[in-house]
Amino acid sequence: MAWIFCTLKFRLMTGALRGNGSAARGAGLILAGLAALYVMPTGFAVLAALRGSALAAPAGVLVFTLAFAGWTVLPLMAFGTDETLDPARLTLLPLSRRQLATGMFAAALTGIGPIVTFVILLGVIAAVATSPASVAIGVLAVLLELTLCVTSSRALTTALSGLLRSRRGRDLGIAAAGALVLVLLGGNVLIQRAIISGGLQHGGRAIAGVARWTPPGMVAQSIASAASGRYAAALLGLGVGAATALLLLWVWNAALGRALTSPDASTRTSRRSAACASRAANSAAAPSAVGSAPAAPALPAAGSAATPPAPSAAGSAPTPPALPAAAGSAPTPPAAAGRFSASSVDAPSLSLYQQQMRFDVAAARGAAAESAGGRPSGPPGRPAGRPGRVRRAAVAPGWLRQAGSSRTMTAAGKELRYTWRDPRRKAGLLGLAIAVFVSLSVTRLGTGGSRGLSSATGPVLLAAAVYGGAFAGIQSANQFGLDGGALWLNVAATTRPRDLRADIAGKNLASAVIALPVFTVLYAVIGAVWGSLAYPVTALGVAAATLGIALGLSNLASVLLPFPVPERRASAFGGGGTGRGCLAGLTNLVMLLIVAIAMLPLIALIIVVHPGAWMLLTGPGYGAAAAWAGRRAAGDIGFRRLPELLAAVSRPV
Amino acid sequence: MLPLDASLPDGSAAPVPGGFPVLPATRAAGPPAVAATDLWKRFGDKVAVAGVRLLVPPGSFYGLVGPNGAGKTTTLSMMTGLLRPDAGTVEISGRDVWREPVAVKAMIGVLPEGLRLFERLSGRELLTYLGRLRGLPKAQISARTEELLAVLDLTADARTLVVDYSTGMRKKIGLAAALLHNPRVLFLDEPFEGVDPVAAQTIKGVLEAYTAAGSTVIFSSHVLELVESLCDWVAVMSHGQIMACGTLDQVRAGRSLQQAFMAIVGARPRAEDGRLTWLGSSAP
Repeated sequence: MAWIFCTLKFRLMTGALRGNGSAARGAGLILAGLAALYVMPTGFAVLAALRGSALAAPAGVLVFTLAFAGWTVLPLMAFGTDETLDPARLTLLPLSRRQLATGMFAAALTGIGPIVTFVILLGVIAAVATSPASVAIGVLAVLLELTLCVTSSRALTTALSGLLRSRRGRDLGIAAAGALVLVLLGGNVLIQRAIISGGLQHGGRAIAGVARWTPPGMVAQSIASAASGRYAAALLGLGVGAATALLLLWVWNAALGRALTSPDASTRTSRRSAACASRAANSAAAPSAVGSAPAAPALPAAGSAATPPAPSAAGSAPTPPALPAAAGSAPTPPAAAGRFSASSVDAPSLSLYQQQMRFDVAAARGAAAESAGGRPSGPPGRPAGRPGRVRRAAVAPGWLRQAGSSRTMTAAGKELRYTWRDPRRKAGLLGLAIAVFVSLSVTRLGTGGSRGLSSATGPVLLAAAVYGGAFAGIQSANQFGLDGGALWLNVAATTRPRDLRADIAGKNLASAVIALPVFTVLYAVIGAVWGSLAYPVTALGVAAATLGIALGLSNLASVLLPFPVPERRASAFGGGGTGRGCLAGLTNLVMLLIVAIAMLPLIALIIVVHPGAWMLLTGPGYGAAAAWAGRRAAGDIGFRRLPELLAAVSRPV
Repeated sequence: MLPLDASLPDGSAAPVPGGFPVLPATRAAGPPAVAATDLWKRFGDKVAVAGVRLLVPPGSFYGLVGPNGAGKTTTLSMMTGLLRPDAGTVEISGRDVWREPVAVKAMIGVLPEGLRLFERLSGRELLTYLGRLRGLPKAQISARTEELLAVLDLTADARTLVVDYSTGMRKKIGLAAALLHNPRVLFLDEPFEGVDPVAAQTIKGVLEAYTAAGSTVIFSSHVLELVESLCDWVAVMSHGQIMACGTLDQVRAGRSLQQAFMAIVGARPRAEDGRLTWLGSSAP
């Protein structure tokens, strides 16, 4: 069974090189292969060169621990897991839990990442083992470590995906993420302390001294134990590793079993907003029913000026619902929701969304016609801009009304809803949170008090801000990919580059609305802890600037390199499939590089002018300009490639 | 809702809402192909399936009809081990779906809604791998694969990736995947949705040959003419319950299935005066 799964996975990977859209995937796969061919011998050789040195055993422990930590955390932060073999497609087969677990494990081991890890881990045997018996123990240890790596990443992402999907998932997921962040933060602070106090060599040894008591560390240590003849200790280490691996396998299997036989409950909350939408609809209809201008009909009736509604409609009788779908405000059954590609939006919101898109087009056309000196092009008496205004009155007062119904705001609102309802986007947020916290722990916030404010800490805080802002922005590097096939809703309502630019601006706005408050709170806390505001305030400006630059670049990447990110039942952390992970990673690296270069003028300015509150204006201004420029270019490029864009993101994977 | 006995003058085999119909003599002996008892499924506050009881005689071609949202897909998902019911049991040929999932999945074939397939395999590769995952002998897999591909007019596209298949081709390769292991019971969720008449005729032919040999087909559809022409048994679902079930003639009771369906499910309110006045007003 394991072998069948291996070959199936291999066939799926090679299948990525055939058929439509194979060029980008193939390029990704080849790049990943080349990178592996470089990393594998290098890693092995570096470790083998340590042979005989006193550092060999601690280095082995560090490599094992780092590999485990990397496999565990990286999929949450950036690349996701390899979901080339989606277990949801195996649910119809008569496979026992055990067969499925074995098979999925074998498939998870089939890939470039596991092979690279395996070869590098073999380097530890070359460095540490001395006798044939210790080599044998070493082979066992390496296989066990590989098992630990793979099961840990799968168990964590599958279990977290389950949490993100469940109704209690928001609370539990946030709690789990918080715990994870604390562990990472603690580990990072520990490492920095050790290295700062004892230099790289001593620090490394000190860390290895702690790490050797973790399961992967104990597995690594068993090779050294066997080399020095302490076989009981070696077997104990392997035993602990095996027990951990079995536990992780059990967690993974249980989470997988649950994911495959229960519906996605994460959209359950949509009922509340459905009620909101229908309330909004009712209140939008109200003015036309009781107001002084009974002939001014509610939203969809706007086009009927030529055929005014029957007088009874203006009376006490309830007017026709302003939104056709508002009548359907009954809860959307989750099972049915999956049928429509925009599954995370309940029917009323969807309808509202479409109408806002459409009416904005109509309003803009009318306005354009008027400004050109002609009459509105619509039927006589058709109030082109009015429908929007009627609803605006129901939503918010004043200038906000004007802004709130624009296409940009509509797109931003939809994006924010999705961020809350779509497990994949929540997974992205989780990764963002982890990345930001890890980057912040670089500033030794955890070591306490002003003692941490050495001469180097301020600049380090700024560097961390560059990283945090860039990471937040890069989350949008495939913004249409997450829309998937539902993008047609936008495409159908897009008539000019301006429409697409507004959509992109809305998505950017949503990103900023999520990221900026997080940054503000974080830097306020740091400022309070440090008792000095100059650097935190500057860092906030820097973070805003990098966020803007990264968003601008992400806009371009989104229209130039779009790829589908299908919803998968088992894992919310799955990427775009074979070859995509490497390509996306490479894109991200290039974007980080460009962000860093684009930040140079601002950094130079900070060095010249000194950190201070002036960055609060300059930083966001610089970032906004960059995002604006990226949005402009992406809108124009994307508009020309709109059909290709839609085809690229709606292709099944 | 009309009282059901009104629609069924012959009271002896009357389908009782939520109750077991009396089974007449069936073609094959033995336990029912499918026996669902008091199936419940709730999504949040919405009850999708409320106490479904259904007996499917072996060898029957059973149609499950009902309006959108009646709970057909949810019921089929629970019967095939894809969705865990909140309460109730399902037995396929006497074996419990949720207690013996492996044994049951070996006995059934499913063409689910949505149809998730391994997109990056070719049609032939897909069938071959499914056969191997089901543990069929190699020679049998390749023989059946070629035969199914030929019968379903897919041989020319056997080397094309599934991702590049059209809707009808996807349905056909999905049907081939469901039939490959020669199941006793075949569950089809909207098998003809989005399928062109030529492909539909092919699928129909395969299904008729399959039931003629004594196997059971259960399929959901809202194309009533199709159900009328294919099925010998029908169950009408609405609001998560079986409103009527029995042989086609019992449920029709002398009317067309369309008329019977409307009577059983209850007609929807028509668009009233004063509604939708805006619709069509953009015409010059």
